[in-house]
Amino acid sequence: MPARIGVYLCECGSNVAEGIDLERLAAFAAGLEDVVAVVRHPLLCGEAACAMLADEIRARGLDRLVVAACSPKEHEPTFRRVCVAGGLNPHMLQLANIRELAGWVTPDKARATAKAETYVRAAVRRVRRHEPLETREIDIVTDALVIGAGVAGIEAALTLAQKGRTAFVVEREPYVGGKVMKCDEVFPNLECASCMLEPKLDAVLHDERIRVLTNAEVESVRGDYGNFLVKVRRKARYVNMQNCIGCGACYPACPVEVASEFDEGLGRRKAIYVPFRGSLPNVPIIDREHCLHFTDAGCTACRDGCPLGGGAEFIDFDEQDELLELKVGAIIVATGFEPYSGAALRRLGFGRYPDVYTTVQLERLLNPGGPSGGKVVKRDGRPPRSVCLVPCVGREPGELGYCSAVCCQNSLKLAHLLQQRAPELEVSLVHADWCLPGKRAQRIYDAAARERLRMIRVADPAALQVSDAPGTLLVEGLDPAGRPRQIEADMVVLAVGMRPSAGSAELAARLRAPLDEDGFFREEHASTGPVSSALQGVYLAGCASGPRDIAAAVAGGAGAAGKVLSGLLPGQKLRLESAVSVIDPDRCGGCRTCLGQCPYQAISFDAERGVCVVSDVLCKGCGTCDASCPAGAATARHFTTAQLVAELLGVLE
Amino acid sequence: MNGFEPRVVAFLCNWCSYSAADAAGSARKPHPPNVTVIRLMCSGRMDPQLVLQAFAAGADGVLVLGCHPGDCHYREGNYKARRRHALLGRLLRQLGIPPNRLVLDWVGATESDKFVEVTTRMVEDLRALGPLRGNGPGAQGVA
Amino acid sequence: MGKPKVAFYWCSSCGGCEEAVIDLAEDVLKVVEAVDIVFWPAALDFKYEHVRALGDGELAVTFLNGAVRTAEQEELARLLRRKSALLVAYGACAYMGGIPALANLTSRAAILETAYRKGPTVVNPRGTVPLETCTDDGRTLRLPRFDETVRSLDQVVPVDYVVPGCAPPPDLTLQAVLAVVQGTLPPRGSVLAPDKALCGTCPRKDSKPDDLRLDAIRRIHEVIVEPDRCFLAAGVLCLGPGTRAGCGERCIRGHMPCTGCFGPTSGVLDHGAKLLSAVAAMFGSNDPAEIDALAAAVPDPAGTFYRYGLSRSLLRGRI
Repeated sequence: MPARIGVYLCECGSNVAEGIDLERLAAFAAGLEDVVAVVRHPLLCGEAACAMLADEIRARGLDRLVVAACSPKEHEPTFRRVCVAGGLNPHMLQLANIRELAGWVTPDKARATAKAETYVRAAVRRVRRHEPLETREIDIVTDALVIGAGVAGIEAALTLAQKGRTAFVVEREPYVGGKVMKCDEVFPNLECASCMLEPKLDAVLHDERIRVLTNAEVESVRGDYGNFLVKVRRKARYVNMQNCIGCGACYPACPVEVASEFDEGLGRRKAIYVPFRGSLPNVPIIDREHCLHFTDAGCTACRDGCPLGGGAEFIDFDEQDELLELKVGAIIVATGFEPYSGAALRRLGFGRYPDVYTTVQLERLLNPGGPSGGKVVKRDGRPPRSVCLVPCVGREPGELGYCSAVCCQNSLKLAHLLQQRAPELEVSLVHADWCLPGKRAQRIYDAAARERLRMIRVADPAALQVSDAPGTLLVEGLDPAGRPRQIEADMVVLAVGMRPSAGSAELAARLRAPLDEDGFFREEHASTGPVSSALQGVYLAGCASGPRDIAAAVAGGAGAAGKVLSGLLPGQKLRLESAVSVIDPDRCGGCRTCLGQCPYQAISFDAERGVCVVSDVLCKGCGTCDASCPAGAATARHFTTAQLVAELLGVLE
Repeated sequence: MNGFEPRVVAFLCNWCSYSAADAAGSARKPHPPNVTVIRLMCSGRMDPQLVLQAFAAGADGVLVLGCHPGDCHYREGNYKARRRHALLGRLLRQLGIPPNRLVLDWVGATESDKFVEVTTRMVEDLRALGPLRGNGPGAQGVA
Repeated sequence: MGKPKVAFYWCSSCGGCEEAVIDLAEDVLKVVEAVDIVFWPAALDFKYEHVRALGDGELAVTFLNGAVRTAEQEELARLLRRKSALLVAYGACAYMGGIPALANLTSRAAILETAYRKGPTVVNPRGTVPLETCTDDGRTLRLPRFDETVRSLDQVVPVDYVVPGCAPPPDLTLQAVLAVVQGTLPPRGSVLAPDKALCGTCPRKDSKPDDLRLDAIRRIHEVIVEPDRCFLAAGVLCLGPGTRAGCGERCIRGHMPCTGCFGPTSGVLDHGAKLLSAVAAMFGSNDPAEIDALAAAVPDPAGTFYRYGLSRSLLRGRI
């Protein structure tokens, strides 16, 4: 059955009528194949005109509509609504942009009219090839998974719970709170980090909407936005989370002692331990790698030391990893960062000289819960006479290659805390360029400048070297004028930048969310989409997408949660874009060329059937897969090759 | 080449280049009527089949315009267009179509002047070059 | 009723398609049993007169291989079309122009010049080139016209079916003959091979990575590709992703990448353009200089992507 196309010409007031001979254009359109009606109207986008148009569709039995008027960017949505009102699928419409692309830009009226004819012919040819597209809606899950229980992840979980959503928080470490928990006082307000976070940690652990899974990792992720199926492995803790009261009597009983990771190797811990005093949840964990029960012949010292009897209901050496399957609609990645640990550390004597520390280690020394009980002491247990803080460690190209944006403020804070604890201590702060953004950083600097602090400017922090001399360490470099500078100190502290969290690449692969060139999770857009990832339904918070301070990390957590709350609404279905790509399984040979082309990871390979499959939840219809498919199996709906060729031949006829 | 008016098909990405063309229209900045626009969602949709079809159907030149590198609405579609263009250009040369008959360029949404400039220059270049129809074997078989 | 009459004929062809029929080996007996071969110049002594004497449509089927470039080939194609109920384009040349169609990258004049005058081994002091008619000693000698372009069979006469391949494999040939005899042919116009790309049946497919990136393009003589490794993964251009399956992966099993002789799958408008697009898509860089270097490393794009299909491409040859 031939198509029944109506062509409607809009005068757009005088905007179109002035530059184009619409009478001629109407006559031309009437002669085109399958055109059964040509109507001229003073202003088609008006409310009354739209109603008239919808009536026309019904009255004339039109099955396709061409509107020759302004740009589709202006009124395509308007005329799609008209189609729907007239009982047509909204995609049975084609706009011929005869205003912006012909009338307004072609001074000669005859040529403008000829150009308009070309556009109308092309639109008619194209619309003949249009197919109705279904608008699909799918059921969704409105709960979310938060990966990482640092400040960003906690904020995200709390924000979600506040609106009644269930948040699953998966944390790799056995405790919540993240890296911030290592600090004593944090800038800008010099607040005690654990006191500051206490209420939030408490809330997150006790909110019935939030399920915290510590010592757990995401194992696999399937599905798409609205319906992810996530497998989480909760590793055996060997201590019962429900029954243990956290009294700590088992630690002294344990005969094994190893370096504490939480204390950055400065302190010791047992094989059954909590990472730090007051860590939450307050239940110890057994380090299987070192515990004699597993490595040797069945030591049971901790059980024996348990005041509650230490039965299997308290300490269970046979506990197995648990695999949990979670259904969530969205995922928030809040995996944080790792302190920089690359080659610049060796250049600066870290690992070679015992009294070269990182800023994270100094945080532990300053922390009353730390290995030295809050006293700043060297490896020999004696307090230093002088401390030199070295900036920008790892910032140079070839290492991190970026500024971590918090180290300057953090170093100023550390210098201040050192002075405060030991007024006679000589503190030198080496610096190159100050990074002091925002409304508070400058004040931290100003306050520090008033202290008895030595600020020493060097030309290039990447050229600094550390060596030793009898009884002291020497930090050497060049000042901005090129003169050698030498700073003596018996304790050197390296301000290390932030690098992506370990395991980011593996997690990214599981999530199908891409990383950027630095290995952080890539934002959808650096400026306009900072909490969205490139994959719909996966959001980014905190340092997962790059270095930032606590305030920004918390803001990111709230922002990411906001995206989930506004995108997935309880009781409502998720409306999917209909002009998306589809791959014909009968034609696809499974070559997977398209897989690497899709910017949204919307295509996956179904190994069982040997074909590629487009997720219509993730696809945004760019059509790159269609262009790259060598077998003609991928089709960008509404921009199919057949439609575009029809339009092209209409243009060139 | 007196009186020769080349026919140019311009494939424009929806987000940047088509917006620039619209903006040129709103500002009443004329561009040559020889250039007819076909809208794609992304320059990455530029299928070499479309380019060959355009030449086969009588186009004297084909223009592909996308967002500037780094600005693609779909992240990297313009880079994909760039890859196709590089290889397609070599093929076209073997088929007797010189590189200046297929032009890939970047026109941002606000660059209406650049849109006018690129289209005008294309038409001028093609006027100087003359019609595409040669007398090779390929010219015989097609329209 | 007698056995169905069948003809085999060749136009611009290397003879490989004739061999392909012989390659049926003992299966050829099944064919001979089922049909009556009435015309097969490459194998048996038949004359054009025998064909002219047949009634229109009397031949049940003609399998015609080779592209069309001369007046004689065109005349025979038209004659056999008229005499045959079904005309099958047999092999890549009849289907898409094949290797001979690469001549469409140059002109008839240049071909004659090279072949008869400039070729390094040519001895032709008088610079003689073939002419359609030439009179010598009162006698007139006629040669068939040598066309400007190489055409696929369907560009000369309507074609009912295609058996693809350079040359078509015996199993597809046998299936085609038996389908004619048994009346089990698919809709007219079909290519008698699976409508899927070769990657799907490739014995090396398991080694193909999901995120294939070409960081360098290597020729087959420059790299050792392990017997079970995807050629593309090793940087060697293989056209399997965009070429119709059904060949039995003979090249792949012989440690050579696919060069595209089965032509495209049915959704494709222009085989070479699609192959080119896919290869460019795999370029592993966004850097303009690196992209250009990768594009420059693709050897002879027209010869690579249109090795068998230039006649049937959108442009058909050099403009």
